[in-house]
Amino acid sequence: MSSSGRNDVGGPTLGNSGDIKCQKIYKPINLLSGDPAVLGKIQVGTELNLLIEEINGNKSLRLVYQNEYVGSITSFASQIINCIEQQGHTYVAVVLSMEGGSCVVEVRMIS
Amino acid sequence: MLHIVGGTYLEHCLEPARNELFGSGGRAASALQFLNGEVRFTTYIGKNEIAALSVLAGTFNIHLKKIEIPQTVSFYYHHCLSDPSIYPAVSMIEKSDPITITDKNILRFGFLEGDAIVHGERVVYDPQNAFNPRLFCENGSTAKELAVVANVNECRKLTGGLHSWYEAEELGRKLLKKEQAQVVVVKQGSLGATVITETETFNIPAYKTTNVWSIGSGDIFAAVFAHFWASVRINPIEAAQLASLATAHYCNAYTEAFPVPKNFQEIAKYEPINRRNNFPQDAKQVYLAGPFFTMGERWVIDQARNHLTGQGFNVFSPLHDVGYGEAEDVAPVDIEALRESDVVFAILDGLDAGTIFEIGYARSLNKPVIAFVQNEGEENLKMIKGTDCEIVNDFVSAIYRTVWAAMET
Repeated sequence: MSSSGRNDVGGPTLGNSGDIKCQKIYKPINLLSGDPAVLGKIQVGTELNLLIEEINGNKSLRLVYQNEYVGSITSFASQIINCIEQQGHTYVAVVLSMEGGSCVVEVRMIS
Repeated sequence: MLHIVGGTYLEHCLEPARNELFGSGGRAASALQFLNGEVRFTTYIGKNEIAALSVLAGTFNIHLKKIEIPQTVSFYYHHCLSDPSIYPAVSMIEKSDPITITDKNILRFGFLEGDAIVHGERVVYDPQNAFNPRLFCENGSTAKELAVVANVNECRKLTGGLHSWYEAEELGRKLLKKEQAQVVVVKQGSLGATVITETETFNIPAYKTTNVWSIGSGDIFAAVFAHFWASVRINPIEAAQLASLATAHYCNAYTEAFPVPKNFQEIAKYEPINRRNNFPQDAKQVYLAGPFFTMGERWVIDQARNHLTGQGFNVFSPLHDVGYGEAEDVAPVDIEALRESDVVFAILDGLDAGTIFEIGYARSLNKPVIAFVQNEGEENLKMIKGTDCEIVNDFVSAIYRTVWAAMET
């Protein structure tokens, strides 16, 4: 395990949802908790709706296809939730790839 | 119920591209959403990631206790097998006050940014430290029954032993005695794991999977083992077998397998890897075929060589073992090495003529070929595909498929 430090912390931050600038696209994002039955109905290019849920005061972001849960996303989720709830934006998820055991999506701003 | 105490870290991987907030503790807690009715998770978290951690808790139904620290530690990987760069540097990470936990069933991970003093009935301890792992009891932790889950390197460092990496039982027995533990599980990557108790030693297989996403696989193993041994209270060999199966499923089918599905035992159908008794002493040879005319090409060759040798194989690499030269000098040496090798790992992007020749030659000798390629069309891969080469577009998956092919020749 390297102990080299990095001073160039580039790339996206995942969690800061305080005073954020909402991005037009968040990608790549791995789908988790994937339902195999619903995954079988989607393909590259399929659009999925985003659904914000709250359990015990903690929010989550789930992806839905034709009223069925496909799975959840956590990468950039707190930012996306903030952009939807606090800043009034609308997003849709689009499937980018389904291979290697992973379903990868991007989340695009619609408005 | 299981109380997990471990790190929450930002994890960035270049290939495949992933950016996630997990760490050992976060991943383990998330993984058990469907298996364990009540997971409590205690962790440190930087203020900038508090919202993201809250999403993790909401997504995976985790009862969360967080201790705020100045900055969340980040891990940067080139790929699943690479040693990560850590930010801040390990020597610069500010150590926070230890977390103290008293509970019935506990999974404790080692930390970079602090420590956890635990007191439990059944405790699973994963030291999570490649350089300087600490013994479980060193910080005052206690357990009525203790299971240590550690890799070979950690076991060697904890015992001060000089055993080779394949002498897992000897290492495990030393650690069992030193920790006064009931169980030691020595993780050995693609060779599976060895469970050692006072009365038994049992080798648990790893499983052959089509895909390998291995970042966090050790966390999944520890989590599922802890769930079954500490919470459900089955014997450690069965717990380790289930943990190995769940880990294989995680590596292979990430989207569907994380969190671990409740019915994973029914759906995770994988072939155990045939662990030869004389492996790795009777090491096989891999021929590493690929272009090496640009920095990127040489880097991939170097990575492949490092990680195949790291798995215990001899590797013949024309770049490293022959170098640049005239055709009449280079070609006979390469051909001789091909004849002597057991399997070929070929890097095919760019369709280098020499690599394609070597693949054809190897197949004419009926040697297995694993072709790592990400950016070539179907037409160009027709002869490769049609001669039973394995075509893989993920680097680490290709490395492991080579390992398994070589182990079984």
